[in-house]
Amino acid sequence: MRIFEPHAHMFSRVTDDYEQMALAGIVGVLEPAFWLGQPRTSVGSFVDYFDAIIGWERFRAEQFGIRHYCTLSLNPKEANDDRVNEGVLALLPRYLEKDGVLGVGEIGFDDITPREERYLAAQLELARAHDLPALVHTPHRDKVRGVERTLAIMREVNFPPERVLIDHNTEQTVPLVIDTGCTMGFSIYPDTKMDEPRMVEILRQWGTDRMVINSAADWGKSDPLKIPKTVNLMRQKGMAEHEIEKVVWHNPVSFFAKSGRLDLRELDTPVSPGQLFEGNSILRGPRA
Amino acid sequence: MLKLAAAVGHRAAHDGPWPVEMAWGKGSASGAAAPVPELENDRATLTVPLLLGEDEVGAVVVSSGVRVFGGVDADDLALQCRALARALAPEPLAALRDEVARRVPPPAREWLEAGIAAAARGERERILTAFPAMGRRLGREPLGSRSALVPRDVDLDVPLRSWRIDDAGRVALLCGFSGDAETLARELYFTGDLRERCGALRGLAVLGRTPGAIDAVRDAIRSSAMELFEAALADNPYAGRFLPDDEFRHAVLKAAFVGVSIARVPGVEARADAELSRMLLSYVTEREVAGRSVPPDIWPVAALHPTPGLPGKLCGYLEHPAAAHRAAAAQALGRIGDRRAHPFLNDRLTREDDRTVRRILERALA
Repeated sequence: MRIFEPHAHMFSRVTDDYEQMALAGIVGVLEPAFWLGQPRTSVGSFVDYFDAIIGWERFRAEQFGIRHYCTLSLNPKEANDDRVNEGVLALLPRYLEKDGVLGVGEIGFDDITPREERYLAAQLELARAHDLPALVHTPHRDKVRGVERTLAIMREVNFPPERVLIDHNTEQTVPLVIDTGCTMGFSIYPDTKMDEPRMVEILRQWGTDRMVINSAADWGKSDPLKIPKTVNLMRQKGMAEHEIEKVVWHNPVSFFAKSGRLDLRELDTPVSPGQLFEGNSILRGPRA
Repeated sequence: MLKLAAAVGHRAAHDGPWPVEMAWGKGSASGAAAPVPELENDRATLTVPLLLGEDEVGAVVVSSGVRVFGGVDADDLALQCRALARALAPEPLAALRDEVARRVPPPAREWLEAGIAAAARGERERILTAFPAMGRRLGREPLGSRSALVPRDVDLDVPLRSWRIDDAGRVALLCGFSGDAETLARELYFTGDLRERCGALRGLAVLGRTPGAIDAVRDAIRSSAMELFEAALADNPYAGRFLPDDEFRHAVLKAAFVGVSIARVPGVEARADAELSRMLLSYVTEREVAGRSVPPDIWPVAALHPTPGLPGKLCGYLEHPAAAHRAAAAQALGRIGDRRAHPFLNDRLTREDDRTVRRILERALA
């Protein structure tokens, strides 16, 4: 089964992950810009980070036959940091025009502060200006309140819900989002967030329309194979193949295709050996 | 249609016919010009293709009832024919327009033409916006061209063999720009993603006239993203013209190291020196110690400044199962000109089946 991973921070992962993801059927991965676990002290660090995920990371992914896309933004945590917030916002218009950028994200809330509100609204405006969908992170703490505020701000700035993916949902937030028209993301995690059995139960209860799942794999304890592992459980629990494919392929692909920049024909074409760079130094090991 | 004739000696009368006259040109109406993909020499008639990159745009036939042509004549004429093909080549912008037009649908073509027109009016901002959008608009597939671009004021060529369609579109915009294209290419490199950076580097290959943008090349050569490294160095004369000696040598060594043929580095033979030979052969030793293969294109370059023992090593490679190694070793031995190698060259020639290798062996013995 073809899988599109709509949320993984590959910047923090090793090549083994790419290899296993490819073997498990993942053909496309979307990397949202987020924070790095360690606060950045200057705008220059963001320049390098953005350059890495629109360039180097795409190259790394293609070594393993995986197409790499991204969303870019000032993340909610660092929206609170006056050393970087305004400067990063000023960088974004140039970066949002880049080829593999399929949206603005992750934006949203962390501690639900006034600054976070301001940069969420400002970046929804940027998404509108660049005709891109938005990927919205919901907070780990006080999640329900965070989702409510997110939906309120979207209404305030009149941002179309069908162009928003609200991520990291749980049983508690589904009822708030299900009728808004937003796409709903679920991050399947080893310990926190969502797990496979609960996920299958949510899909059984609420259906598969506008539902997507992801691993949100990053620098913490996480697992880039969580989508294929959840697919296994979906099968064991008797979900129909076309329903599974809808959740792991059609829904995420059609959401990000709203950017107008996801070439479906290209996504369906395997990265051919001719496009891999012969003799590249990564595949040859520690020689570069 | 252009008619070309070449001859040794004089015509009998002022208006008299040349000894051999041959029509040539792509799609020539008479169909008289059959493709001549390879040099042919039957000793009395010499036929040499006019090559622009690897694209055969015509042929020159030289015939003489008297003279027998040797390998030196053939090689000389091949060089002259390359120069002639360059002289006849269209301007880079016209060539790129043509390459792109054959591969993209009309709306994409019109979008690019509008961009080129804006560039000609000096609208820098339009190029800055169009650069990142190029892949979405034109596609990112390999261009698949065998041809080459010839910059207007420098006699060198820039092969298109590894370009993609979006590269061609980006460089077309830079070629059309009425302002300082070199400075703009540099700026687009440092603000671009991987593909834009490749496009900017390929632009410098065609438009670079000063060392002003060499820091972009330096940045790309340091990269481990092969596509970027290749765009900076392979088929890119800008790097070869403006990198200082020590950096140029290290770039060539890295090419060998990462598997980019050093034969694709323009200027490598002109700039080769004893230090480069030492570095390349030390890399060969490192590979051989590890029981690994060695890229054959090192041999002809190292032979320009041979180290002690190199002829002996090359005699061994004359018996390599891969024709590429035999050809490269024979060419290298021809360059070194050490007569002690002749028995091995002759011995190989008696058993050699590969036509190209045979020709090179014969040249090495001449």
